[in-house]
Amino acid sequence: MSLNREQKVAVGLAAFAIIYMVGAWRLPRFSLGTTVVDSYLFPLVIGAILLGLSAIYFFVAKKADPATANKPLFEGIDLKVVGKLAGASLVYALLLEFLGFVVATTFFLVLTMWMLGQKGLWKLFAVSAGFSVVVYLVFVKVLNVPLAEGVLKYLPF
Amino acid sequence: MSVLHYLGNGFAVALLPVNIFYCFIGSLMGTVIGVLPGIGPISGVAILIPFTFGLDPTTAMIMMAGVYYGAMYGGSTTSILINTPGENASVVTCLDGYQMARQGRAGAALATAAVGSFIAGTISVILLMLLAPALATYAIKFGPPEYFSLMVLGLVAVASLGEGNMLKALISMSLGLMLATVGIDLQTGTRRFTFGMADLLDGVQFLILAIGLFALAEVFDTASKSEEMNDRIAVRDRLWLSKEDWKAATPPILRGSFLGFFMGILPGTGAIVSSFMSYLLEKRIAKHPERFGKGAIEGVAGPESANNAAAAGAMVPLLTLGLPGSATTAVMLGALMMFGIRPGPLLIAEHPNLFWGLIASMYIGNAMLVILNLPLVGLFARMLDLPKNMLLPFILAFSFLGIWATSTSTFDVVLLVLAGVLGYCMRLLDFPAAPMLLSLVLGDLLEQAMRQSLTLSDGNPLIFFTRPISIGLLVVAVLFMLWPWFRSMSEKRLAKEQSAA
Repeated sequence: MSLNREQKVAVGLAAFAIIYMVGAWRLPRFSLGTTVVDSYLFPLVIGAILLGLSAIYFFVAKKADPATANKPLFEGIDLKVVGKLAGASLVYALLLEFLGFVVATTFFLVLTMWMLGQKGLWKLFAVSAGFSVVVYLVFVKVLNVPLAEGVLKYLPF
Repeated sequence: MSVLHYLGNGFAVALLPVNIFYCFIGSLMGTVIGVLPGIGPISGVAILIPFTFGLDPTTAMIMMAGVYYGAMYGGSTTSILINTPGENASVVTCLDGYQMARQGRAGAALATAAVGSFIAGTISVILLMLLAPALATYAIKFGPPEYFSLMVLGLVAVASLGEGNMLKALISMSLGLMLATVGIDLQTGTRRFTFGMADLLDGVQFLILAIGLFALAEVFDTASKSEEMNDRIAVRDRLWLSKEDWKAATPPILRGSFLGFFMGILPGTGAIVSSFMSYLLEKRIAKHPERFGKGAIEGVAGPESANNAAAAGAMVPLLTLGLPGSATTAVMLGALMMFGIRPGPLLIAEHPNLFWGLIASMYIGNAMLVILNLPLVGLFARMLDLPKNMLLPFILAFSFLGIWATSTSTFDVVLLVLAGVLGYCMRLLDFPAAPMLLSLVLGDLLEQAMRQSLTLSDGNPLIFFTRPISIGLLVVAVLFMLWPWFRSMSEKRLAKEQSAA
C-alpha cells in the first residue's frame, strides 16, 4: 500500500506523539508530598490528543483527491535559496557572539543580499556596514542594550 | 468614579509628552511595517517588543497598540497598490482596492481606507470603553474551571474560524501546547523535555516562536518565489475623495465599524473574517452588486473599517479575560506578561492607568494615523519600490537583533532560525502557524487552570461539567468544532438546490 504525502505527514506526527507520550510517562514523579496533578499528566493528555488527531488526519488524507494530495510540494519554488538563507542565518547565529554584532551583521547582510542577486559588492558593503554601526551605537549608547562586542574589543579606540 | 472620569485620567496619562511620542513612533513604525511586504502586524509587534524594554509598561503598551493599528492600516496600502496584502486582514481590500488603483483611483482608495480606519477605530474604541469594564466585572466571578473552559474555547475557536483546514489547525495547536510544556514545571520543580540543556529550563520563549514562525518564514517564502521578488508599482494620481465617493463610502464605513467590532470580540474570528463578512454584507445590500470586484468604493470602505474595528474588538477579551483572540493579541499578551502584568478581570482595578491610558491613546493613535498616512502615501509608494533582495536580509537582521537584545544568547538565535525553518515547512504543508503560537502563550495558563480545578475537586474531572459557566463554554467550544461540518453540509445543500434550479 502506497501512502500519499499527507498520509506520510500524519504517520510522522503520530510517531512524534508516541515518542512525546513516552517521554511524558517517564518524567520523574513528585515524591515530596501529595499533589493531585503531577507534572506528567498534562503532557500525556496533549500527546494523546495529537495521536488521535493524527489518526483522523491519516484517514481524511486517505480519502483526499490523489491529484491534490500528491501535488508537487516545490512547484515554482526555489528551495536552494531557502537552504542558502537558512544556512547563512545559522552560521550568523553561531558566529555572532565571537565576531560581534557589527562584523557578523555586516558580513551576513552582504552575503545574503549577494545570494539574492543584488549586485555591486562595494555598495552592499557600505550599506551593510553603515546599518550595523548605526544600530550598534543606538542600542549600546542610547538604549543601553548590550550587543555582542566580539572582535571590536581588540580595537585600540 | 464614572467612566468619563476614568477616561479623563486616561487622557492625562496618554497626553504625557513621552506617551504621545511613543504613540507616534509606534503608529509610524507600524505603518511602515504594514507597508513593507514580508512583515505583518504579528511579526511587527514581535520584532518591536525588545525596543520597548526599559520603558514604563503603560508607555510600552501604548507604543505596541500604535504598531498594531498602524500595521493594520499599512497593510491595506500594499493591497491597493500592488494587489499584495501586507497582512491577512487586507486580503479583501485587494478585490476592489486594486481595481480602483488600476482605474487610476489609487488615491481615492487609499484615502477611503484611511478615513474608514479612523472612523471605525474611533467608534470601536468608544464601544471598548463601554463594554470592557462591564465584562471585567462579570469575569471576576470566574474560577479556575471557568478559565480552563474559556481557554479551551479560545483555542478551539481560533482553530475553527481561522484560516485553512481545521484539522491541521488543531494539530498545530497541539504542537504549540507541547512546546509550552518544555522547561521547569513550576508546581513540582520537575524538568520537562529539556534534554539536559540549561537554556531550555525557562521553556521556549514566545518571542522566538513568533518571529520565527511569521517573520523568518515569510522571508524564506518570499525569497523562494521569483515572481514575488519582482513585484513593483508607483502611485501618480490625486489623493482625496470626491463628494460622490463620500456619499458612497460613509454607510459602509459605519456598518463595517459595528460589524467588525463585535466580530473582533469573538476569539478566533478576528480581522480577516470580519472584513470578509463586511464585504459580503455590502455586496448583498448593494443596488448594483455586479460592480463589486471591479473597483466599487464600498468594497474598500466596508472591509477596511471592519478590520480596524476588529483590532479594537480583539482588545476586549485580551484586556478583560486575559484571552487573546488572535496571534497578534497573543503576542501583546506575551509582552504584557514580560512586563509582569497579567491581563484579566483585575487589570482595570489594579492597573487603571494602563487600561485607561491605553484606551485614550487609541483615540490619539487613530487621529495620528490619519495625519500620518495621508501625506505619506507617496513616500510609502516609493518604499514599495525597494528591491526585495535588499529588503529581506534587513528583515532577517532585525529579527536576529530583536532576539539577541532580549536574551544575549546564541542558543536563542539558533532556536529562532530553527523556528523559521519550522514555520516555512508548515507553510509548505498548509499548517497554520497562529494556533501554535496562541497555544504556546496559553499553554502554561491552561495547565495551571486545569491543575487548580482538579485540586479543588480532589482529582474529579467532572468539575468542568458541573459548573454552569464552565459547561456552557465547553458546549460552545464543541459547537465551534462542529462549525466546519455544518458549513460544508449547508454548502452542499445550497449547491444541490442551485443545480436542481
